[in-house]
Amino acid sequence: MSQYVANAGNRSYDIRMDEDGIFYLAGQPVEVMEGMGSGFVRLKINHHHVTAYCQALAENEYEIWIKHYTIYVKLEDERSLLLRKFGRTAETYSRILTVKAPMPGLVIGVSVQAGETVEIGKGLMILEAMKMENEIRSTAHGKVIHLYVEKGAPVEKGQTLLTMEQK
Amino acid sequence: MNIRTVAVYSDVDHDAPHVRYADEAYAIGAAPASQSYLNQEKIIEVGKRSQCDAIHPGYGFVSENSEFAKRVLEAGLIFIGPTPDSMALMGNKTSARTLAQSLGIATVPGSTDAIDSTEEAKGVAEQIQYPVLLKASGGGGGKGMRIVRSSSELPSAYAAARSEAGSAFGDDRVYIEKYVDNSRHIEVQILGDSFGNVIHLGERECSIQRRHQKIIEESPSCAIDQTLRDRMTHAAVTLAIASKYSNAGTIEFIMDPDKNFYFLEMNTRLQVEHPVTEMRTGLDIVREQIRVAEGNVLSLSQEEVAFSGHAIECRIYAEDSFNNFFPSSGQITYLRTPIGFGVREERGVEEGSTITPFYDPMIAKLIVWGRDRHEAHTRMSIALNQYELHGVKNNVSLCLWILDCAEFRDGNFATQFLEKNFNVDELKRSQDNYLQHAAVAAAFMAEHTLQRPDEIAHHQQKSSWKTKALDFMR
Repeated sequence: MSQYVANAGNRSYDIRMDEDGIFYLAGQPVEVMEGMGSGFVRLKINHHHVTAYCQALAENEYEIWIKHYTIYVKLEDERSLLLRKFGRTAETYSRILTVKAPMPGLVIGVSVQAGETVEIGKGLMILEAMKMENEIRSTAHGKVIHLYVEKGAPVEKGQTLLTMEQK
Repeated sequence: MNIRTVAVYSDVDHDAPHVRYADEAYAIGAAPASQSYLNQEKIIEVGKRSQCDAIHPGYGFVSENSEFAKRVLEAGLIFIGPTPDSMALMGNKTSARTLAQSLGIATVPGSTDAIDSTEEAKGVAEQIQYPVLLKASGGGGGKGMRIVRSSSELPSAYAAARSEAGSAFGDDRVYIEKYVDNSRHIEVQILGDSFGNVIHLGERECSIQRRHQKIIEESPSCAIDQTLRDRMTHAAVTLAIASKYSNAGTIEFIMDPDKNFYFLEMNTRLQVEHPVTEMRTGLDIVREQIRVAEGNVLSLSQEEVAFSGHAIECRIYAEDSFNNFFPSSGQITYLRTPIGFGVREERGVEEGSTITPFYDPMIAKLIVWGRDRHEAHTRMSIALNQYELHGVKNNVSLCLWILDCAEFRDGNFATQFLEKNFNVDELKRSQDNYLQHAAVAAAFMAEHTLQRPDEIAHHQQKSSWKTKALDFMR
């Protein structure tokens, strides 16, 4: 699950991707898939089908080529949105945290369940790598949303293990 | 005609489409034009080595260079173009204007010779009064051209014009003429043979320009009636006959708001916008050029030239219309171009081509034909809308914007059309329909590039080899 605010032209769009990889634009599902060749994306929005070519300019900055147009898009991800929100208001906030595998290995234990509330420092999973058991601990106080792996699963470095909503 | 062809190319163009289209192709030097496409000796040497009968100089580079034409003939090859003598006479702006005046054809006031110093330039400018236009003696295409509105602008404009002309044509001479505000650019295509026959193929209006370079050309012009058309084409044919002109050429006029027309210059070569005339007359101008160069009589008389409908051309430039027409280079990652009845597209690049910063930014020409201006106009809008070009910034959206402009639709425009009407914010709005697509595409890319390791791992989950291996190790 990821959330973005995409700034294109003088407009901002709320974009979300759910656990199944489905994209939503302002809450409405959008058909989007990889096109032929690297950097190509095929999209269908309001029965409007386009092929877009994407060039990354910097982190979270893209040049998107559609038809004969070149559209500059700046993304704000959860982290930058949070920072912005923090800077502006003192409202309570929630953010989605993605816990990723810090190294390749084997999940030999899962210590939490979806929906469970955890405290900072609570052990989430045990990952075996280089013949050592490594406990992955929560860095935040929050609720586990979804577990992506189960006991016995081999994981690669950077693979999402679970997502949690920070309280 | 099915004639076998030989192409020449510079190092950076080794993979250009023209190299593969030709039956044979020869490298002639490094990327800068001065070391390749302007190297007359090398080009002629390739012509001889490959046993060519003739050389077609195209448009640009050495195509208007009478010295080159002469050397081609001296090498025993045919030059597909006018004789070096009429090229020298009509290609030289000063002698061409003197000839026009002697025939009673009005010319734009200006210097009769190349200007040698800033002081001399100032003198001429004061005599004919500002605004004035500095122009290259050696060629056209907007290179080496500067509008000067006051004497304080003159020194830097003069220096810039000379250096630009030098690098574009290998000839840094510039001259001055009066700049006519609100003028329209109308030109007449002529064809001649070596037996003294000259015909015209009607006019083209090329008033839609940016940086003195044409963007949109059309035929017929909606600014002139048949009487004026007859007077202009008659003047053009008279000039061509007087200069003993053979082969294809274009007589350019400017027309002031009171519909007085003035001879501007002659282009002694095929022009970029010749397809506009071809679409209206059904004639293949390059074929006529080759026939005439072979020593044949023109294949038709003036009475046999049949004009039909309306044709428009848009030049597709690799440049950023959103940023002051700044040239754009890079690789064309995706290219889908329009096709259909009445649509013609000519292009020097293809998907995968890299646009280098060495040459003119024109990468393609889109030409349409319609039964009348309205039909051609509509067809062009549809065709431009279908144009998909990714990886290199281009002016397709600008062309669409121009076509959509009421002034253009109504035929109410002059060469300052863009300066007067163009507003980049309006152009930006034209891409609003695609902002949401772009937004989602960016988020999709962000997810898929950052989390690629996940993706790979997910696929690997299907194999339990690793699990078993780890179990075994334990």
